[in-house]
Amino acid sequence: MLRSILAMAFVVAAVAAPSALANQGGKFRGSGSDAGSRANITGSASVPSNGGAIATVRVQNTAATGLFQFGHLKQGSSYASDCGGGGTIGYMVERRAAGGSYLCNAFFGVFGLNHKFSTLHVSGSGWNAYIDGSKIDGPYALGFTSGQAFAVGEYNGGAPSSYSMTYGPSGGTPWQYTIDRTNWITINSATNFNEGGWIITSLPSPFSISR
Amino acid sequence: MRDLSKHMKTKWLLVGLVVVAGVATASTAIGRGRPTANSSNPAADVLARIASSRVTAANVAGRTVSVEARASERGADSTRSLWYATLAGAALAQNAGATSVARHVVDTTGAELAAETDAVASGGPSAFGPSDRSAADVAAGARARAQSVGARLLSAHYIRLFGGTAELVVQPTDPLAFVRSGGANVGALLGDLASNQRPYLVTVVDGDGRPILVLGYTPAVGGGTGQGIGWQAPQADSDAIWGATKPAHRLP
Repeated sequence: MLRSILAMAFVVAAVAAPSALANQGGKFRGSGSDAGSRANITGSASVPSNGGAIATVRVQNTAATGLFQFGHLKQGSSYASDCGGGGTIGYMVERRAAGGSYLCNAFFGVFGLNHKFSTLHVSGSGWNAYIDGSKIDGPYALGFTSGQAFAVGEYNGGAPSSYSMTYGPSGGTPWQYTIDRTNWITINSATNFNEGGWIITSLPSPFSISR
Repeated sequence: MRDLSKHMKTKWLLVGLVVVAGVATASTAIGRGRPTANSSNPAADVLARIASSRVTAANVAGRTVSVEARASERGADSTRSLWYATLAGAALAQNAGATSVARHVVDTTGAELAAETDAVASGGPSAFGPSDRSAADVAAGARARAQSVGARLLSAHYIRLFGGTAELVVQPTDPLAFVRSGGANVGALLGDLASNQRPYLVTVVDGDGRPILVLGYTPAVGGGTGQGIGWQAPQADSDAIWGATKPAHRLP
C-alpha cells in the first residue's frame, strides 16, 4: 500500500514539476484554420542574466511543426537564443518553415510597451508581422498558410523574478483571429496551456499571463 | 649589395604606400566612410573570407544579393550552411548597398534544402572593418570557455568578417544536459565573441560527433538587431530556442 502511494506521489510530482529551464503558458484557439492572430500586449518582466522572456501572438501549424510569432522579447546579458546573443531587448519575429530551422529577426524596442502585434498570412505572398498596423517583417513562405492562434508567455533559462503581461488591455485591440484574412474576430473562448507556474486569467480580453 | 637592398626596400615601400593609398581612396569613395571589400570582385573577396566549401556562389543583381550554399541534409547541416550563406549575404549586401539577401541551400543533387529571403538591416558593425582578434585568439578564448561549461572545443572555423568571428564546434561531456541549458551555456561559451553584434555560429555535437544543437547569429540582416538561427535534434530539449520547448506539451 505504502509502495503504491509513494509510486503515485512520484508520478504526480514528475508530471506537475515545472521545468526550471524552459516554460510556456497561454491560450490557443484550437481551430487549425487561422490565418492570423493579433492583440495589443503590454506589461513587464524582470529576467536574470542567464534567462529571457517573451510575450507573443502566434500562429502554429501543428501537423507541419511550423510557426510564426511576433511580440516582446527580453534576454539577459549572458543568455543566447535563436534570436541572438545576450542583452537583446525589443521585439521578435520568429518563423519556422515546416520541419526547418528556426529563424528569429530581432528589432529594437521597449519591452512591455503597449503595442498591437499582428501576424497575418497574405494569400500568394506569405506570413507578415505588423506593429500597430505597419508591416515590420515579411512576407515569408513557410509551407503552411493557416494554423492555430496562440497567445503565449514563455521564459527560457533562469526564471524571471517577475512576469506580468496583459493581452488586449483597455483601449487596445483584444486578442483576435482571422480566417478570411480580412475580418478579425475577437476570441472569447480558448484553451489554456500551462507548462508550470503560470497564472492565466480568463477571457474575454483583457486577460493576463503572469507568474 | 647593401645599397641595392636599401634601394629595393625603398622601392617596395613606395609601391606599398601607393597600393594602400589607392585602396583607402576607393574605400572612401565606395563605402561612404565604411570599409569595403578589398577587391574589384567583392563576391570573391567575401567567399575567400568565409573560406568554407559550404558557400558555393554569391552575386548581386539589382538590390538583391543571392547566395548559394550546399549541405548534406535538411537538419543541422542545412542550418549551418544557411548561416554561412546569411553571413556572406549580409557582408556582400553591406558592400553593395543591397536591400535584400536571398539564400538557397541545396544538397549534392541540387535538391532544395532551404530557401530564405530577408531584408537588409541598417546599422550594425562593419563587415569589412579590421579584425580585432586573430584566429588564434578566437580559438584560445573559446577553448578556455568551453572547458568552463563542461565541453571540449573540437574546431573553430575563423572568418575574417564583422571584426573576426568563427563557427565553434563543441562536444560537451553531457550533451543533452548541455543543450537543455543551452541558452546560458552557449552564452558563456561565446563570451565577448558575441559582443557588439558580432556574428557567431555554435554547433554542439554528441559523443558520436552528431550535431544536437545549432545556434547562430548574423548582424545587418533581418531585424534591426540582426537575425538569429537555431536548430535542435529531435531528442534534444534546448532552452535556447523560443517556441520549441517541450514538444509534447505544445499542443494536445
